[in-house]
Amino acid sequence: MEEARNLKKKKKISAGQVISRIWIVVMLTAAIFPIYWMLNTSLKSQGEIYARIPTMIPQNITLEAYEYLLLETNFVSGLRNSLIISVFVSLFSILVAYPAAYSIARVRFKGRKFFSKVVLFTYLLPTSVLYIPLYMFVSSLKLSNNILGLMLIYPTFTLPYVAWILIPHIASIPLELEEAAKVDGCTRFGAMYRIVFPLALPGIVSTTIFAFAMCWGEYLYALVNISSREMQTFPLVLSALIYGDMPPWNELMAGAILACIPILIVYMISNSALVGGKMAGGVKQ
Amino acid sequence: MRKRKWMRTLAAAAAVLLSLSACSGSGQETEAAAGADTSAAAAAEDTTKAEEATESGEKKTLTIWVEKLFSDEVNAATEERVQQFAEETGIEVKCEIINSTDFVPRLNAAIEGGNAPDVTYTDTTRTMNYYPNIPYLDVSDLVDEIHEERGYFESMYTSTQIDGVHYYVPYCSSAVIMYVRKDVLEEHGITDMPQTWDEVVEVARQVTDPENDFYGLAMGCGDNDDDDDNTWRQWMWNEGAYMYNEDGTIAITDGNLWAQQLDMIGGLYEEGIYPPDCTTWDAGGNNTAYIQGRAAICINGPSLYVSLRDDEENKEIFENTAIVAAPVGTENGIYMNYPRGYGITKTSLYPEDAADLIRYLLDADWYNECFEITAPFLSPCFEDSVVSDVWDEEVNALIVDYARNASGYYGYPVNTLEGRAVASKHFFTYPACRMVNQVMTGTATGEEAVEEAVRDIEDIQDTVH
Amino acid sequence: MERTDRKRRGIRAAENRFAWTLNIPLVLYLVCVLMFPMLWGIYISFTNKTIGGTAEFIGLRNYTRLLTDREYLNSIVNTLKFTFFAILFKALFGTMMALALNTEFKGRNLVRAILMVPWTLPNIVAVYNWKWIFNTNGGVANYLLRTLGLIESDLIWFGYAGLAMFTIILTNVWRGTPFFGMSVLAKLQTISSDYYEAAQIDGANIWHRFRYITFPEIRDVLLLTTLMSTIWTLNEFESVWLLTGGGPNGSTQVMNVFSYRTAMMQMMLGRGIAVAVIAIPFLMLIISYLVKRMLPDDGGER
Repeated sequence: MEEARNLKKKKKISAGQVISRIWIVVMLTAAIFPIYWMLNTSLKSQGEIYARIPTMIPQNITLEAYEYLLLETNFVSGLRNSLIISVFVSLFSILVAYPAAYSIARVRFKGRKFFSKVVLFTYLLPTSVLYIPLYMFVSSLKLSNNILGLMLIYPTFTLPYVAWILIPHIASIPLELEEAAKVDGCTRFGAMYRIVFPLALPGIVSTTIFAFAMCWGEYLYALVNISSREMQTFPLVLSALIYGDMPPWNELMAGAILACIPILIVYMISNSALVGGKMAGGVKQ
Repeated sequence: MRKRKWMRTLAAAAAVLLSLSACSGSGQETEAAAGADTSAAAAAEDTTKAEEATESGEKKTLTIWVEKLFSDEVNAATEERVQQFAEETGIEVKCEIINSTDFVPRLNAAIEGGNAPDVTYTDTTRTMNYYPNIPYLDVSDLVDEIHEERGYFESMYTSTQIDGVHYYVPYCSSAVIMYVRKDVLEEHGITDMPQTWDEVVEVARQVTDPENDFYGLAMGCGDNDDDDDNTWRQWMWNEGAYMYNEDGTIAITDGNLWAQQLDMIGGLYEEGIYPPDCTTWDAGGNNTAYIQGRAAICINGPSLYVSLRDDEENKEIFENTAIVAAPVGTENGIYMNYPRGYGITKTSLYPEDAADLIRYLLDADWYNECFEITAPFLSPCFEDSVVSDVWDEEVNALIVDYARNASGYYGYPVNTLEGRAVASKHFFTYPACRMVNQVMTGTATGEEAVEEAVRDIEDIQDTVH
Repeated sequence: MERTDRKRRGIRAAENRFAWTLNIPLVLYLVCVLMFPMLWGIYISFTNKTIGGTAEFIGLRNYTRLLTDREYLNSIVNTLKFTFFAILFKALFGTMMALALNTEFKGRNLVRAILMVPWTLPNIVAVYNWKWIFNTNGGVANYLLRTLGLIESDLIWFGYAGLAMFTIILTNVWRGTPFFGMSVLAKLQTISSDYYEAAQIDGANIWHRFRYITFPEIRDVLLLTTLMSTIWTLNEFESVWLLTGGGPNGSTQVMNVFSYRTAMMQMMLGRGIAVAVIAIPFLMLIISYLVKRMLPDDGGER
């Protein structure tokens, strides 16, 4: 927003801008270096990886890790399964949690505080404890070894997060807009979806992406619930590579690099939604 | 098809909801009742499943979990063999190859969920860790039958027999051998390969060169190093230091031997014969250090041999490596036995067929060929396996020799059921590594480390009683 | 009077009906899927259940036992240390990240996407990558620090209590910062630039602008994100387990690693779960505080 202001006036760079630029560079380095190291490792042969002095640029670039992963393992089907689960669960979470978040943010109903607490009580026990009873539950439904089972239990960790993180986003949308809509004959339900939802879109989109990412790399629940190769999610495919004394770092990292891509695409696409949301948000003033 | 699945999911969800609301009181009673309900339901389900299967002439189903081994060849061969069994018998068999770190959490969940596989890969510590609820059937008869037919190595047969009972059918064994950089030893004018721990230490001392990041002995003691835990333990035995007596009482304080040994090892660490980072290694740390040319001596399984042999980049080190038997001590030369095998779970609906499957995997022709192809990864455990020339070759012979002579087991020489259970449970805290680690990092003296171990053992004894 | 009262009551009832209609799907889901596991867990913590064994009610014995267990108490201290520093840095870096990203510059979308990546990596892969970076057998961290002349001899990252704690915090912060950054950013974007322009005219400096305009606007989101993340971090298991396994000598053994060891490696399911159950009242306190702060106006008034 500072830039926008400056454009209107003179091209003068403020101290704040300098700091923020420097900070961006620092953050980028911190975020990119480990990822670069993954990429670097994924392009090396096992021998070069275990060299005593690491090479900052692979000396002999080889795609064998990628080849192995894509052709010899079920990595692709793992990605597909993860994608199906993550898309379903993140959309389901928004679908179910948005109305609840709306009601907490907007409606003064009896038991509101209690209800909003109970939603978070979901996080009281860690996954390292819950995985056993959840597995018992899923297998009693005959859904173990099935991605449907994972779709059933993943919302346990996305829903409370989604519901809660949406509350401030919804609360910040001026009540007048909704009331104006109601005067215009919009039902409450209609206002909730036609007025508030689009205005809260930046928050909703970023929340959806986070929910997506939470499911995307989930490991422990998938591990105990899935056994057959066709049903495996990609973290399971990757962890299955780790056996023996020396992990095949190149294959693991190749998998990590490939697994980033879908999320990046989702994020890039949604960025346009974020911008759109911002404009809509601007209208309110 | 898809639709029907969904409908089923919905129906099931509704059913659960109903049953939950039906007993939506509170307190432990309802909970206990709910627990009982599920187990009863599971049992009922099991029987109906079996009945259904026989009545409708539908295929029986067996599930077998095999631990993923260091060799892709073995994994593939095993899977293929299992499918062959399925074809021959008409029983549907699901075979899953699971890597070792995932095995226990998955098995635990399956046991609690009431659908443990019929047959699983297991070993003594893992089996005994479940004591007093060992999930496996007593298969002594099956083992005896196979023993009579094929003749197990005596070491394998006895070390897996717990208080007269076999809980799993021994299938293979691993071994520990010593890798020595003969070129480095030669540079220092050493031509005889070390044979005892004292000699190992002596050689290590001479060749250590911390200035150049080169160390005499690659042995690790990180927190999860189950691998080296065995090696440390073996060293202790060889010097006459034991954790338990035969009757299961604690021997680790006897004559202060353990503490003295530990202090000695701590001294060696300070001297610098171990790489300083060895306190953080996992099971792969010693191999990596050796492959990188950071260490002169490494005591490890045959997997290191295979990576040296097969990887082009390790050629130089491979050519300069001498492979010899693991060291023995001044007191004795007890080796740790690493038997692994197949157990039949108590919840299996078809234990007879499960036994057939195990017999099928132990069929001499296939078994012997499989082990020959993958030699020296694993040692077979039958006399009739090792008559082939393959097992006369240098490294292969070492492996078989080791397996045949290895009489040690966790808790050795304890021989009571409860004592072995305690030793197995204690193993999963990797006590030898932990004690060595404490001494190396200066967190505790030998004596203090031993005291803590005693407390840990007593705790476990308490829970087992 | 009476009439307005009745009317108000009528409105209240309508509000209740409306709200619960909206809440039904969520309530249904939680009751169906989570009620059994939660109650099961709490019940099991009062029994001597082992894996594969039967559960016998033993009252508080698991709990009294834990309270005298040095390893357990030590794990609590570790958890608090880990959570405090991890949250502190995640909140700080995340807020700074959001502020920086809220300015216009070329390639902003790409930068934003890249900064997101750490959070989107599967935990298991991210953790293995860090483990590999900090590896003492050819890891790049030591190499870089040596090349830059910052250290003379290799650091043994997982070998000392302080360093090992540093690595698990670093891993957590690296992965968790984007979560804070993006949450705060989403909120920042709804702040109108008019405020800032007005402030600019008033001659407010950058700190004042942050303190009096930005901060009040993002406070709620920041608080919510912090508390949510605190709950997750207190319950962190996977990354610590895979990175250090709790070592060296238990110095990074956080609560849930201890719980997992007890339940899954020592097979004492009841006692292992009790570890997690003890934390429940504290987590509930956090949640209550959060609810109180976030929903202060629950008086039926509008």
